[in-house]
Amino acid sequence: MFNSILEAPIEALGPHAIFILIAYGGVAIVTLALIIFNILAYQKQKSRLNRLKNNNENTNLI
Amino acid sequence: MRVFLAIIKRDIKLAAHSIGDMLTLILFFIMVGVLVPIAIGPDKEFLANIAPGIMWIAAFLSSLLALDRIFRPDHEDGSLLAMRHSAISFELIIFAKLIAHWISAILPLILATPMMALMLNMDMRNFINSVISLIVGTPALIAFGAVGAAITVSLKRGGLIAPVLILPLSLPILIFGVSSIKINVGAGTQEAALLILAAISLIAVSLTPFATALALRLTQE
Amino acid sequence: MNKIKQIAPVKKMNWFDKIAHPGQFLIWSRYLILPLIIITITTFIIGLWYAFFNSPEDYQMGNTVRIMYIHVPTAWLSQFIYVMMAISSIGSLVWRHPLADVAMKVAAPLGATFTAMALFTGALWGRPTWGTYWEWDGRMTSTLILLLMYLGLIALWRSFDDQLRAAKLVAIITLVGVINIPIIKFSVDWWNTLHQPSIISSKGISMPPEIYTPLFIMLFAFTMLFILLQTNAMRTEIIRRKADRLMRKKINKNSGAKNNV
Repeated sequence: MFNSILEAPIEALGPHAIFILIAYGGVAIVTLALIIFNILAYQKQKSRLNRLKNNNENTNLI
Repeated sequence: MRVFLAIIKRDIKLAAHSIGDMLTLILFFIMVGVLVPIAIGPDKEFLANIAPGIMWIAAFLSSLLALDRIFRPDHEDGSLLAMRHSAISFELIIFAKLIAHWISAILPLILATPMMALMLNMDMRNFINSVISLIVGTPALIAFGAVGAAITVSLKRGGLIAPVLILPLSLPILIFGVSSIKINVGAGTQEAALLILAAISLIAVSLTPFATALALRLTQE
Repeated sequence: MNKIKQIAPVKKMNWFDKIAHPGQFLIWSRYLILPLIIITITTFIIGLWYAFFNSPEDYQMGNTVRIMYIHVPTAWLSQFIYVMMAISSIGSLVWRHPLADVAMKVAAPLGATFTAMALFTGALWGRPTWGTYWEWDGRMTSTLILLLMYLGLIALWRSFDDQLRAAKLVAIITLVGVINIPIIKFSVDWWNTLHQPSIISSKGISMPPEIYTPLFIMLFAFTMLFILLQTNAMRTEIIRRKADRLMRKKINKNSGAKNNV
């Protein structure tokens, strides 16, 4: 199945297709990982801040 | 000037007290020279060919090993803090400390080079060249090392991280240092490399005390 | 230091202080994220379409020229980010600006990633065109050194607990690095020509417009991607510091209460 997906671009890109695909694929994977990590880190800190804020309000009430 | 000389004297005396450290350093330097032939093979001609590189790598690694000694003891017992309020500027004091460190940590290595040269089958001309290039190049090595040592002086694990910071920065020293030893590279290149090495050393030694002083001031804030 | 902190709120803010204050930054940069996402995605789509379907093969390199469209932007970013870090470190050392600290800190991992990508794509480009993954060529070697410098800076950041002090010290070594980069570049070039005459000269081809249109679009797209990631990472770091402060406050309060009992 993998072969059949890759067949068309490999034919279109000629003899060195594999290098082009690995280069683009590698950069795409790393970039996506970077973006996902970026978002996750943001969410984590944001929820941590909110939790701390809520906790503080609660302790103030008590 | 009197204060300047006094600090050099004091640091050398302190280093002389811990003579064991100095011997360990020389031992390490020599050991690199022992390791390489064992790892690569005892082919004498080949060893002579790569000897300049090995000499410099050994000096490089040993100087990194000694880096932590420049500021850490003085930082821990507080004398560095006292030096900041002395009669002469802090930058000059650091310059004095660099000189003292060169004499107490690098000069012993240079004195140990004859043994290294014998083990690596260097001929006389190569040996003299390598001594000259070490004398000319190592001040820059120490100058860059001092910046790294000053930045990491407040860290407990500073001894590990300073070399990682300093190595890429001191690459030019290694390149010109090795090329100023090799005699068979073509006319003029060896002299040119030695001159560039001297230039790098002079610039580094005159500029890095400012960065080092700034780092130490910020650390003690 | 404490004195300055007490005076600061009284002092009237000029427009720059207003924009650059971390809290203010958190407010106005929120409106920046969505436009940046849109611009980045569109330029990437256009750029990739150009790169694959609307640009010719190179008469020498054939289709492998398409690797250039991701190699050159990442290589450009690797240097651009270092320069940005150096400028931030001046801001951090001279004006002691917290936002400059934050910018400097979050840029280092991004810079390291883009430099690694530039080396990776460069190796994959080099194999079909020059016949080797790695050559100790001046440009490649200095890029590798740059990567090592980034990693060293990240390691230094991580080894400090006190981030305020870390910022100033990292700034010093960043600036020493930026002064040193030309010397490293020069030395590596010198060393390389000493070893062997360079076989590689295919980089110097002049480009026809069909090739540099996608290249410029991709350059723009990658730069936008960096700015987007940088902005978001800066927001994350500011929020993290806020949360840390709150946590410390809470711990102090709790331990204070215990002591009273």
